[in-house]
Amino acid sequence: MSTTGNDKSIRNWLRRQQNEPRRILDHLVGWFIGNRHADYGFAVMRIVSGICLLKWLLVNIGAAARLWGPGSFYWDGYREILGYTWPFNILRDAGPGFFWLWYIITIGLVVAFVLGWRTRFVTPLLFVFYTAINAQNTPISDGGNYFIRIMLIYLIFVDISRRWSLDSRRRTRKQVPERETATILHNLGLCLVVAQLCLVYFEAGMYKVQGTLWQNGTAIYYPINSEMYGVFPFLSDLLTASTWLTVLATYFTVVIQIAFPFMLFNRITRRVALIGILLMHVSIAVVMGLTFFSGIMVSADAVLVSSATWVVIAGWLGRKCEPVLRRLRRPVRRAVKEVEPEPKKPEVVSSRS
Amino acid sequence: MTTKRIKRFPAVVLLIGGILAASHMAATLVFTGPQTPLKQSLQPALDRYFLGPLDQGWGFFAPGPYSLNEYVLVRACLSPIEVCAGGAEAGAEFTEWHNVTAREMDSLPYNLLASRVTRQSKAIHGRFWSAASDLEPEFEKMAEANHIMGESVFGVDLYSADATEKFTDAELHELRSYKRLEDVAVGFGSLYAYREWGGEASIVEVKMRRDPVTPFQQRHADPPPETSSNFINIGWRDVTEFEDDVLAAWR
Repeated sequence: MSTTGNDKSIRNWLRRQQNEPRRILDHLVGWFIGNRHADYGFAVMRIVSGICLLKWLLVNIGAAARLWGPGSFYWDGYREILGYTWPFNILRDAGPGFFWLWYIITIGLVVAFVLGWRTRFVTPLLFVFYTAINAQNTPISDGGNYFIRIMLIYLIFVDISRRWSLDSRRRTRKQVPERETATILHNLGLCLVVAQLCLVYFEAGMYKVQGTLWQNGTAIYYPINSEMYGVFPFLSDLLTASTWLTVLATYFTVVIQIAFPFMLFNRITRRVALIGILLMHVSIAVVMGLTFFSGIMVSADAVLVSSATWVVIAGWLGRKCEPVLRRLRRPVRRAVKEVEPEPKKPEVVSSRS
Repeated sequence: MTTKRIKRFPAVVLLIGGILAASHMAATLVFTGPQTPLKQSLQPALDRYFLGPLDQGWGFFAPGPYSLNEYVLVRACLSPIEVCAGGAEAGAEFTEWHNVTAREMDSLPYNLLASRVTRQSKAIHGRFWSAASDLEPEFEKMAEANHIMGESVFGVDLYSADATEKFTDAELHELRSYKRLEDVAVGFGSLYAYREWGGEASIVEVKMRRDPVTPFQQRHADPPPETSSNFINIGWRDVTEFEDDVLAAWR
C-alpha cells in the first residue's frame, strides 16, 4: 500500500486528525463545565435511598440499643480491628442517652436528605452519623449498607437537591447562580457513582462465573431455599420447581451483571440493562426479602435514566395521582368547612347614611 | 461552534479531582478484585486505605451461593460456678440447648420489614465458623475444651510476652483471630442467657450448627432426604461480665 501522495495515505489521515485530541479534550471539558448532569436521576436517588434508610432506622428502632447501641458491646474486640477512627467510632463507649440522641439526629438528617433540605451540609453529616451507627455492628450489614456508605461519600460532591427539593425552591426564589467549580465536582461525583455501580455489578458477575453452582445453573435455588433468604417459601418453590426456570434465572443474573457496564454505551442496550437489573432487584427484594439492599441499588441505578425520562415519568405520575389527590382533598375541605364557623357577612354600610 | 472556556481554578479542580477520582476507582477495582501480584505489590497500603469507611467487597453469593442453614445454640448452668464445675453429679442445674437463630428468625417468614435482629446470630456464626475452621487440630481441641473460672483457652494471654515466645507469628495471628470471635460468641451467649434466665447463669456453652440445604436434584424427593449437621463447639466458658448499660439493652 502506498503511503505517499493520495488522500488515503496514513500521513494525510494523521494530518486530518491532528486537531482530534484537542476536540476530544474540549468536548470533555465542555461536558464537565457545561451542565450538572443527571440532576433528576440524583433527585430520585436521594429520595429513594433516603426512604430506604428511614425504613431501616425505623424498622430496627425497637432493637437499636441491642444492635448498635450499648447492647452491642460484645462486638468490641472485633470492632477494634475494623479501622473506624474518630468520628466513626464515637458510639463505641457511648451510653444509652448519647446513643439515642445520635440515632434520633440520624433520623432527622435522613428526613432532611429526602426532602432535599440544605444537602450540602446534611449529606456529609448523614455520612458520619450513618457510618458511626453501622460501624457498631458491621456483620449484620448487607450489601445495601456497604453500598450506601460508599455512595454517601460520593454524594457529598454532588448537587443532589437541584431538582424536586426544598433547596431547589429556595434557590429559584433567591436566584442563586451556579458555580463552575461546583458543577465540575457534581459531574466528577456522577462519574464516581456510575463507575462504582459498574464495578459492583461487573465484579459480582465475575465472581459468580467462577462458582460451580453458578456454572451448572442451579445457584439461585440454594439461597432461596435456606431459612434466612427463603422469606416466601411458596415463591421459592414456584421459582425452583422447574429446572428450566432455575437455570434461566441463574444465567440471567450472571449475564445481566457482567454485561451491565458494556450495555450502558448505547441508548437502546442501556434501557435493556436498566430494565433487566430492575427486574433482578425486584426479584431479590420479594423472593429473598432483601428490600433494603435492592432499594439502595435501584436508587443508584436511577442516575442512569435520562432527565427527560424522569420528567415524563413524573408528569405521568402527576396526572395519575391528580384524581386521587383531588378525591382526598374533597373530604378534607368538607371537614374544614364544617368545623369552621360561617364567615361573618360584612356589615352593609349604606352609602346614603 | 464556540466552546466555553474553563477558568483557571475550575481547571485545576478538574485536573486534580479527575486524577484522584480515577486513582480511587482503580484502587477500588484492585482491592475488591481477586488476589493478583499487582494487589500483593500494593499491600499493606491498599488494606490501610480501605480500612473503615471505605471497606467493601462485592462477591454477593459468589463464587459459592449461600447453601446452608446456620444456627447458634446456647445453654447455661444456672448454679453457682463451683457447683457447675462439679457437673450434674454435684447438683448443677443445666438448661436445655436453645436454638437462638431459630428464635431470632421467627419473625422472618412472609415479612419484608424484618428487623436486623433476625440476622444477629447468623452473622456471628458466619464469622466465627471461618476463624474456627482455620485453627490447627491441636488448637481446635483446646478451643472445644471447657475453660472456666478464669482459665485461658490457649494456656496464656495471647497479647502477653509469654504468648510471643510460645507461638509463632502465624499461629499467634490465627489464635487471636479465633479468640476475638470466640469472645463475641460467648459475649452474645452470655447476654442471651441474661435475657432468658436473668443473672442466674454462671457459665455458658455455645455451639455452631450447619445444615446443608437439600441438593437441587433431590428437591422433589418424598420423603425429603435426611441431611447431616456439622458442628463446631465452644466448650463451657465463664459468663462474660458487662456493665449495666449493656445489660439494660438486653432486658
